[in-house]
Amino acid sequence: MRALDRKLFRDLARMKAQVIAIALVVASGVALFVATMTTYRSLRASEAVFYRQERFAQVWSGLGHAPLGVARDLAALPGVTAVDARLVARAILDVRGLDEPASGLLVSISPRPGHELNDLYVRRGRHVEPGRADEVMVSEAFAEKNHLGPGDSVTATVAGHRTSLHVVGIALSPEFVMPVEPGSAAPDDRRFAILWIARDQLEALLDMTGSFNDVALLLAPGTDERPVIAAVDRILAPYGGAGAYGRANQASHVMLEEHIDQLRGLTLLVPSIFLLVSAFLVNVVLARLIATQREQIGMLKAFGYSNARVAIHYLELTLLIVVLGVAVGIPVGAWLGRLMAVFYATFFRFPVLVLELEPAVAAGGAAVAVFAAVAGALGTLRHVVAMPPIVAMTPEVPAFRRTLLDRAGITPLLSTASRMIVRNLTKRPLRSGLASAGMALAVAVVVVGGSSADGLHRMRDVQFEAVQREDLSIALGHPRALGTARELLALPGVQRAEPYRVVPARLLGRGRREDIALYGLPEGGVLRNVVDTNFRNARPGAGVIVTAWTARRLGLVPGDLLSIEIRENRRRVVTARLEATVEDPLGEAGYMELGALGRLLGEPETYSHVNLLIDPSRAPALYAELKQAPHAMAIGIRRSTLASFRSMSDASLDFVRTIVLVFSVIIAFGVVYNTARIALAERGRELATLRVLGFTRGEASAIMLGEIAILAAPAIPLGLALGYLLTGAVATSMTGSRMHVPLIVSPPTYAFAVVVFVVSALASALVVRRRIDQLDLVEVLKAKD
Amino acid sequence: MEPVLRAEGLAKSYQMGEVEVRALRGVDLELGAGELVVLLGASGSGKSTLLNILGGLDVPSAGRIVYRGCDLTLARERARTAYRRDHVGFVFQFYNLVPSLTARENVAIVTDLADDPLSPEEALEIVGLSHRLDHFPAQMSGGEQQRVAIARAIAKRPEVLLCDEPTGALDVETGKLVLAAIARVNRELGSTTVVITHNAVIAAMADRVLQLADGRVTADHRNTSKKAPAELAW
Repeated sequence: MRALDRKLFRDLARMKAQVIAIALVVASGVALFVATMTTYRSLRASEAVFYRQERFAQVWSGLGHAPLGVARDLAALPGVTAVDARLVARAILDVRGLDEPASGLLVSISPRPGHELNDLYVRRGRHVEPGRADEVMVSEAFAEKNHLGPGDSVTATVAGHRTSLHVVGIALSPEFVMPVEPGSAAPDDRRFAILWIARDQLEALLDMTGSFNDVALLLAPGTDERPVIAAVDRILAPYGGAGAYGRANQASHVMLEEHIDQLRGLTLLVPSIFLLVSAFLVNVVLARLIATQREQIGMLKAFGYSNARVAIHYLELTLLIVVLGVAVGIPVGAWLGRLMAVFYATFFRFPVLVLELEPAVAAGGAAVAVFAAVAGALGTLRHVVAMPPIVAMTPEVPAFRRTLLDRAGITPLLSTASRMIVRNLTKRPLRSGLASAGMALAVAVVVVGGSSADGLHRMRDVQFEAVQREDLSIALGHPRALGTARELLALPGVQRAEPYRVVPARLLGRGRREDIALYGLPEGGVLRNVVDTNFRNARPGAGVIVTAWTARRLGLVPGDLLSIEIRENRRRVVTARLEATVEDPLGEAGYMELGALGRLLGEPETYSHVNLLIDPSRAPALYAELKQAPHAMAIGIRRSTLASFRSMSDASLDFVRTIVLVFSVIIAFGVVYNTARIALAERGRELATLRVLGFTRGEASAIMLGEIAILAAPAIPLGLALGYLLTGAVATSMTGSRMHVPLIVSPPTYAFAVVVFVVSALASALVVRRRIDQLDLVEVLKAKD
Repeated sequence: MEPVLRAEGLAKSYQMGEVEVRALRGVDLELGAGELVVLLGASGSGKSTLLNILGGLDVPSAGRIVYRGCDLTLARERARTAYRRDHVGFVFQFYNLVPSLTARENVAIVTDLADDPLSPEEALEIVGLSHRLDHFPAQMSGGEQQRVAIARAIAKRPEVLLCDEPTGALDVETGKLVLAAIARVNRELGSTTVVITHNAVIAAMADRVLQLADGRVTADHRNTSKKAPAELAW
């Protein structure tokens, strides 16, 4: 090993604390990048494989009912390779061990495994068999939550008939990765089941032999779904077709995409920000680190080392530090990526997990880190190497001159120590600025890490505490006359009953269309509200209030006339005035006053749903009664859905959020620590001189720490502001078609970022303080400046 | 008369890699009030180590160092800092000025800490720099910077003034100016002054000359007639 190489390793060993801190910042950026890219890509790949293996349909439509012969017309459409003309029915379920009534969706299937499309993945038990009465397979999530297995049974009320169904298998379907009850804001696995039942069984229950009320189509690869959707609509129109749609509007797929999109916000943007931040910091830190090596560079050149050799020596130093970080970051990232991918694949219940540990991802992360570090080092090296050796060996004596502050008579007001601080900071404004900016980024990174769930929590709070105020909501099989709503008050424990109307509708505007749920809310009602993300209430009147982003997409502004296609029973287009828009975070919806909607529909004085406020002590009696209610099609329980939403979003977000937070804390600490250490390296001699002159340790430290504090102070407000902006970018990237995550950074998140930063700063200050205490006073007298 | 500083059997050794370096091997010494002492020695003779111990920057491995009856060997770090702060003035070969402070402020940094100091202006007047009060180190010559360092060292009216090769980095004429400033301080403030140097010519300005070699005092004599720094030539 040559002397210069030996010097390299000695230097690394000497600076080990700083080397470790820089390498940790690099490792954090790279690890998070690799881990989350791996997770995201693995999930996408697993989703694709699941969809392909189980032949997930591409086009769906609900309808009133049609004879099976119509399905032949659908199958004959160009590009259609398979058609499942099926029966579906909503049911109220009575499950042993569950006090509340549950809701179910019965889906007819062929009694033989291996379906042409939307095939089932049987996890436990077996497929339903031909000729066996009342056999069903149950969706896995519901079965797990209610401890159901093959051999158990559930009681269902379907179309007014009560029947007992025997569970023979537990299954997964690409159609119901995230089973969301129609009309519900979130999945509630405990209370919503998919039940697959042999076609002849459901035909009998519904009395619909030889017909179908729902259809799913599989298309040949590369087929454009739009003409197929139009053709399906046309063919089904005479049979009460409710409007065909593609995967982009399929409830489970949309929900799954929302979740993966949210993850993408956290898994692509945040790590990219982290990687860039850590790259920037490494750049700044290494540039300054090399500046402190200036005399040694001069010395090497004086001995006859060429500029190139000297530059390579320091680049090697830089690269070794970065490579150390990358070498830690990639395996940690790969390991975390695998952990996260397994976690999310389990969370989404993908039967297969395709792990994608792509070398290109790792290489990309490493390249960014290496590039940033080398660029930082080269910037300084170019400057130092260009100096004649003797100039480089002469330490840089900062040539202080009288500044504006002196001339303005401000400095005389300060103590001598404060003057030193002020002059040092103002001497190199760029360097001071970069140090502050670096620390601000550290704060920002913690804000981004912490705020990732804030928007989602706000959305949840708006939806479940302001929009929905009911205890229970009941969906009726058919709209009923308004007068009957009063009967519900006779049910046990019901304190208030508010009928409302929901009708599926399609908004038409500027050549685009948006499918929404159109609500008719009763005047003076309090159980269902129109509320924006800032908890502001709007009250619908004669016109329509529409979700703001739906209106934006359609290019509509309040005052415009809206064309609304009513997609229930008889399809027709009506017009209404757009009254206002509301920044509604969840779902695509329109709101009108109940009477106005009735008049618009030509069905005045009807309701399809009812919200109930109940006396909790009498809930069991009410539940028992509702389990038998013949008119109810589905029952929603706000508290249960909220709990489910909470546990789901907590489970899916907290994991990645924790990882992001840990890395953000490491980055914040690494930055602050390095800033302090380099400042100390640059000023060590001056401080030692002061100590010799009789300054106590505290007095000498105060100068250094005061300087760091002044650099750190603006980093806090700056970092919080920057964190807010970056959170905005993340919120935008987390926004899907159905969910608009509001840009919210909660006070605790800000507070946490400040605490992390202040603790990092204090810890770094302690280290610096200890270093100052240990300064070699004798050594400093021997060395030339 | 009680000496200002008394060293008894001072020894100092330290580890340089695997070699034990014995910088001082038993130095006995008494420095009286107002004495101007030149400490001569080749490099490696131990003179800087001795100066550092006299100034409370370092502690001996053996022996005692007593300042006005107070044993510095037993003093803790805090007490040694107080000793430097209140009683010792240092002048270094490389000035060690704070680059971000003007001449006046570099002196003030010490007078801010002292009980009954000279004003920075008075101190700079003594070293002949009244016209450079508001200049930064980078705007002054080496000799001027060293004289600022002397002003900084004496402004607290130290009992002990320790100068480590104060002319080492200067040309002859500038060096004489600096030595003249040291002599004047010694005369006017009565500080016990120790100047270490390897330049034997400088010995002529001292009251007393100590020779140091191999960590021991090998000669100790008093000059019967002192020369003024201006008369020195090297």
